[in-house]
Amino acid sequence: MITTVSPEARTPPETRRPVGERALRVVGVLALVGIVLTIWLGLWVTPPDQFMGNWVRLLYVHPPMAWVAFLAYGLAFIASLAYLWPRTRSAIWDRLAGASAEVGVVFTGLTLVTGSIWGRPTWGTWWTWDPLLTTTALLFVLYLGYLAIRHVPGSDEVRAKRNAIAALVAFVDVPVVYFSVYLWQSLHQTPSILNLTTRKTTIHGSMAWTMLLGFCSFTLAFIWLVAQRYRLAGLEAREESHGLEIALVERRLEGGR
Amino acid sequence: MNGYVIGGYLVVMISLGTYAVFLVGRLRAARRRLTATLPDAEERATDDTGSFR
Repeated sequence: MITTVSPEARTPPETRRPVGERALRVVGVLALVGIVLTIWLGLWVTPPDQFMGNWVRLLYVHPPMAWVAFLAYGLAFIASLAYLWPRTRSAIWDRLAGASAEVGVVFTGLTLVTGSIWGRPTWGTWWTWDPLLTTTALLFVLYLGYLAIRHVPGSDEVRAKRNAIAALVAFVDVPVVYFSVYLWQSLHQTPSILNLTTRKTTIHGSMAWTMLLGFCSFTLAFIWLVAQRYRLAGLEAREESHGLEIALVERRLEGGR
Repeated sequence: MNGYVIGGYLVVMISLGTYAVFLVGRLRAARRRLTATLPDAEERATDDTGSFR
C-alpha cells in the first residue's frame, strides 16, 4: 500500500508552531518599544508647534489611529473579496476579515476620541458635524453593524458569504472619509504627510520622525492584535464544531437507548 | 504639558492595553477549554486549512 504524507504532516508540530509564535512575539515587543518611544518623543522631546503649541503632541497618536483603521478595513475588504472569489474561497479569509474589522473598530473609536480631545482646545468644541467627522462616525457605526451581522445565525457558508458582502458594502465609506477633506469645505485640516492638493509635507524634523514612528509602531500593534484575534476565531470555530460533535454523539446515544 | 494632551495619550494606552489583555485572556481560556477536551485541538485550529467542516 502506498501512503502519501503532506509536507506539513512530515514536519512535527512542535517545530512548526513556535516559529510563528516567536515572530509574533517579536512584532509585539517591537510595537511596545515603538509606542513607548513615540510617547516619550511626543510628550517630552519634540518642540511645541508654532501655531498649535502643545496641542500638536496629540497629532503623534491621532493620525496613526486613523491610518490603522483604514488599514484594518482595507484588509477586511481584501479578505472578503478573497472569500467571495470562488478560487480562493476559504474560512481563513472570513476569520481574517472579522479579526481585522474588530481591531479596526477599536482604532476608529480611538480616532474619534483623540480627535475630539484635540478639537476641544483648538476648535472650541468636542464635536461638530464636519464632513470628515460625520463620515468617520458613520464608518464606526457601519463596522459595528458588520460585527453584529457576523453573529447572525446561519450555516457556515451562508454566514461567511453574508459577512463578506457586508464588509464590501461598509468599505464604500472608507474613500469617502479620506477624500471628504478635499471634496467638501472641512474644518479638519488636510493630511500633514502626502497632501494630495499641495503634494507637500507640512511636518518636518523631529516632529515628522515622531509621527512616522507612531505610524510604524501602531501598525505593528495592529498586526499583533489581528493575529491574536484571528487565532481566537480559529479556536472558537474549533470549539463550536467540537460542541456540535459532542451534541451529535449524545443524540446518537439517546437514539440507541 | 496639559490635561488634554495627557488625557489623549492615556485614552489610547488604556484602551489598547485593555483590549490586548482581554484578547490574550480569551485566547488562553479558549486554549484551556479545548486542550481539556481535545488534546490536539489547538494544533488543529492553528493549522487550519480553512475548509468548512
